[in-house]
Amino acid sequence: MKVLVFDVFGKYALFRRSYTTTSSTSYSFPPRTAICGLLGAILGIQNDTTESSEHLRTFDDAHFAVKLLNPIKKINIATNYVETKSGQKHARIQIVLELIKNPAYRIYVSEFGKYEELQYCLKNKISVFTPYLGQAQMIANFSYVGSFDAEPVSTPLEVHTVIKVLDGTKIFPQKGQLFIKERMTLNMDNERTPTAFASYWVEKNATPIKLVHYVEQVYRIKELGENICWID
Amino acid sequence: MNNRSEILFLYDVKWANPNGDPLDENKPRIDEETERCIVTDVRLKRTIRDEWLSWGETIWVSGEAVSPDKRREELKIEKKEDALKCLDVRLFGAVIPISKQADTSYTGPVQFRPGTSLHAVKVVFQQGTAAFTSQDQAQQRSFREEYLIPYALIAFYGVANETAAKITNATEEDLQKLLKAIWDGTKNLITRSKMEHNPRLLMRVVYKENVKYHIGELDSYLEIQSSVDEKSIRDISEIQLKIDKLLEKLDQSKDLIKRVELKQSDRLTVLKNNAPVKINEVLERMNIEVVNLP
Repeated sequence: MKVLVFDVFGKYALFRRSYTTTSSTSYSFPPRTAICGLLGAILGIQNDTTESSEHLRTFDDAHFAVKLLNPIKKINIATNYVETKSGQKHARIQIVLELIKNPAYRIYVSEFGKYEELQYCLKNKISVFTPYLGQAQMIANFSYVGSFDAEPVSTPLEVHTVIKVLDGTKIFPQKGQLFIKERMTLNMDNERTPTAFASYWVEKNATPIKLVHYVEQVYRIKELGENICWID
Repeated sequence: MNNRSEILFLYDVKWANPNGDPLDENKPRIDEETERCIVTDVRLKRTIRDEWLSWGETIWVSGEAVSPDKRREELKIEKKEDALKCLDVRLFGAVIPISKQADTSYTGPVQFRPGTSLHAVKVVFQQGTAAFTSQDQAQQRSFREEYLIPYALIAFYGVANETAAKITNATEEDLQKLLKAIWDGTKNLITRSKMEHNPRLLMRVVYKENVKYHIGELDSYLEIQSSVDEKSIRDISEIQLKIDKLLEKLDQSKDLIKRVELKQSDRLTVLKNNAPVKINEVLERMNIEVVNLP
């Protein structure tokens, strides 16, 4: 199986947790929908209206994996927004934004309809729209790693990407590791209504996770010396 | 706007609070790990919008607390597309809340990252006597407290995307207004906490038409050099800006670059190979066309 690999990084990122209301807290890594948005920006896929998420259909046959390249560090920034409800003069509302500092991720993409087109864009650093990490002001940069063969391997082994939590998933924590469990939207329909959810294990310090038992396939990319699990 | 471009903007502040944190006693925003100060992108956009307002431009986000319905009424905006008469909507995008209508937002072609100082900064806490008493009979005046940064050289980076510009009808002329407002608006920040804000360098890298490439994060290629400790810097004359890495990047992509637009303060010293240079001369030697911004 062929896998397209690239790194994406920036100064800050904010992948907003969907279940918070006023405070914007961030997931530690981009959810599948954010990766689709990032690739959509690179490829120039446009929705008819801002309420549509039809672009996600382009990626329905693609699998993704995500590796942390930097440890997760966060900073809180309170931002003054104009209060528009009461209409009082000078009224402001403070929103806390939780940002990830120096975010850097390696993204793996399986073969799908626009594989070659995406490869061309990544190789030549072409992006039709400005790519960003979660919010428009978190402008992203990216670099192409390559297109590689991935071969199936079996547990137990060390996995370098985040791991989707499935029935019977067993990980073996090592000294100094800190695990975060994140629950995210996995996919949405064309009107932005979530249709699937998933939970993930992610190691805060960006070290590989010892995986003892897993019911889905793990793949190895020999050239990179990395084992990956799909997030979807 | 037919060309992709990248914007790099440097300004410095002296004994000021470049961007207070409203939930933390209005202290300057500091990254505790690097001790560099942070200025949000919305602060920069406010500077730009205030300057535009002083020119009489039509702006959606006026800065006044006003309900969206009232603001729409003031500007006679009935449907989403009407908002495109506002300069800030064309460039930065906006959410135009219209009841019972879901599709109300534009993503702007121009986006800025939050800015950060290029060095660690010191934060000074200062108290003073307030001008007035709190009550008519009171003899003692109350105190005011404030946090100030003695010196910070702050860098902002932004991208202008030509494809998104087609959606909001942003023009090249709009973008030139943005460049003028960044420079002049920073100079015109004259509230007490924003005194001594000086624009130092404005660079716009304009790519050729149909180029969908840009270098990315230009601010990360800048370094400063100083003979004093970073936190003891008090004036631009104590800093030299090293642009070797930036020039290297521009050189690698020069076949895709149409021109570089430039404006620089005389007081900023720029180094290449540790020797002072003029950026326009260096770029011209690299066969990159340079246009001086008015």
